[in-house]
Amino acid sequence: MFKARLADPKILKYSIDAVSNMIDEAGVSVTKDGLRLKAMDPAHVALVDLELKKEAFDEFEVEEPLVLGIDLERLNTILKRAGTDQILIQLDSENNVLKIRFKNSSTRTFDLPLIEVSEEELKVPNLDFPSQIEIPPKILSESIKDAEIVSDHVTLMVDEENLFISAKGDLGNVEVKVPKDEAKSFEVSKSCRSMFSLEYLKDMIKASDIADSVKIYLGDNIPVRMDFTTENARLSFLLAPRIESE
Amino acid sequence: MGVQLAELVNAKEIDFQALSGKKIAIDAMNSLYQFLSIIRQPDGTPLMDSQGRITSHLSGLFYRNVNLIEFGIKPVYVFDGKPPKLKGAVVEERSELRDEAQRKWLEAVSKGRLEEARIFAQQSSRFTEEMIEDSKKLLKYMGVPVVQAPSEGEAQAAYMAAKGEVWATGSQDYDSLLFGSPRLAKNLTISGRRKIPRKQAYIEIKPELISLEETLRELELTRAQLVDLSILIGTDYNPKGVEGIGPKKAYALIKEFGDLKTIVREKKIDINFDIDEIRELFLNPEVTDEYKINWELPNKDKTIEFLCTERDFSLDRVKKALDKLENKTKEVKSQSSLEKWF
Repeated sequence: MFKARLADPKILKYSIDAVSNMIDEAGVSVTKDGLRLKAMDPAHVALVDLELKKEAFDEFEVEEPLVLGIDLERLNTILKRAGTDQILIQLDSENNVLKIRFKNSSTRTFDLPLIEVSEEELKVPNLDFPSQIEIPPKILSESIKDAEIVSDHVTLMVDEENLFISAKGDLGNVEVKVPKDEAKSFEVSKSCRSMFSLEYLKDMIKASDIADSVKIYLGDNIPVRMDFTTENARLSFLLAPRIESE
Repeated sequence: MGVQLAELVNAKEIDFQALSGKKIAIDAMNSLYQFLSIIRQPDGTPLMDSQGRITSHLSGLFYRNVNLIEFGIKPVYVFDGKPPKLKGAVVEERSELRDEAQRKWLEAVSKGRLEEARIFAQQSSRFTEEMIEDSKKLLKYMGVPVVQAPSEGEAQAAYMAAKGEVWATGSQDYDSLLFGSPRLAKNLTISGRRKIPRKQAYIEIKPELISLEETLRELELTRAQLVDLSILIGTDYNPKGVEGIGPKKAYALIKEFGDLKTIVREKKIDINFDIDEIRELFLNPEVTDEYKINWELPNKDKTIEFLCTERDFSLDRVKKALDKLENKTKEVKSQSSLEKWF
């Protein structure tokens, strides 16, 4: 038995929107603490760890821990229809579907068939990040959108004073400078830089709209970790860098 | 050919963009036949070089793959090995059909009936060993990985998809679903505007995606039952199937009786093939783990020498396409994988 209710659908809508483009299908663990989704994209470039605590929901009931195999693309298509309606989620284990109900003046019910997913434990890379910077998510998302105008990749760089988000393209360059004082926290043990594909970042920043803050863990030519957090939810990404060749 | 499942299977139209970043194992022979039958002059003559050697397949392989790769798709070409013994009948039958089509094509050309000539010409498409070797050589120069299957290419492609090493199989046939491929992409190398035979009309062909799991769920069948159903309709290993039974009737029978052996017993059907042997070919086909799939930068000089110097392709067009191929491959290769840090 599992059911949950969200008076405001925003947190679920945005977090699924942020991950569904890179992860096709995933096993979502449901425990008494909430929902957890950990998965890697098929190309093994990005790793997603989404945690929605039970406190993020207005109602949350589960009898015993379970794993729901979800086609995320399909779930995202359904959630896009939610508008601002209240969402009710209920497992119909007899028919192996998740009932997703939008409630307003009418009640709309979608059946999302559950799929089989492998329950292999996901390996997680062990990384030491020399720099950790916490900034308002809006700064990050706007810089990524700036970079998209000129290129398909972006360089993240920090020194003792600033975080730089820059992109170079055939038609011009862009650089966004975020001074230390604007950051919520700024721990830089040495300057470092890595380059990343915007194809992934532009999906990841969709989480900006629901997060209060984003913490960026950066090193030299290693993956970047970005934790978007709010009181009752955390969406964490690990993204492999692009290595400049030649 | 392959098994005729179109009526029962729900194919979803998709955009090429949706396939960006995905590795797809393409049934090479299936794709080469498409090129050879589609890429032709108005009277049905295939493209040829100055020595009269056919180049339709090379043109298709080159330009179509550059297109796919530009969309971010990572194609792997899987070539057939030794066909299973049971396939002999089909191979022979196809060969006779092609002889017949060849005769009709020449006749139509001599009588000036171009429209008819083109159709017969398409049906007469056949491959020589040299054309297959040329295809492998071109793919290698382009930096596109080639996998040699021990037996059926489609089975090997399905095996790689089921293992998760590629995201989907690519073919016009449905057989890879029977071989266990979780996803089948159709129309990958033939998308675009196509003329409808015998009509002054065109249709737009778009890529399609078929999910094995969804198919089985919608039909409420297991994969073994889908194999049984296909044997009833006719597969490459028993081309005639059971007389008078098409997809709809086969489906109804499987739903009623559960499996092929029960159907044969209950309906007192005479069959001239071994059910277990064919089932085995689909459910446990001969495949290999010995292959590498790496995308490399194209060897531009070798490609130009082969296509332009030897086969009379336009230097200008080939150069432009090679530049696109090189840029995209560079971009894709610079993206590292998280596995490096595990």
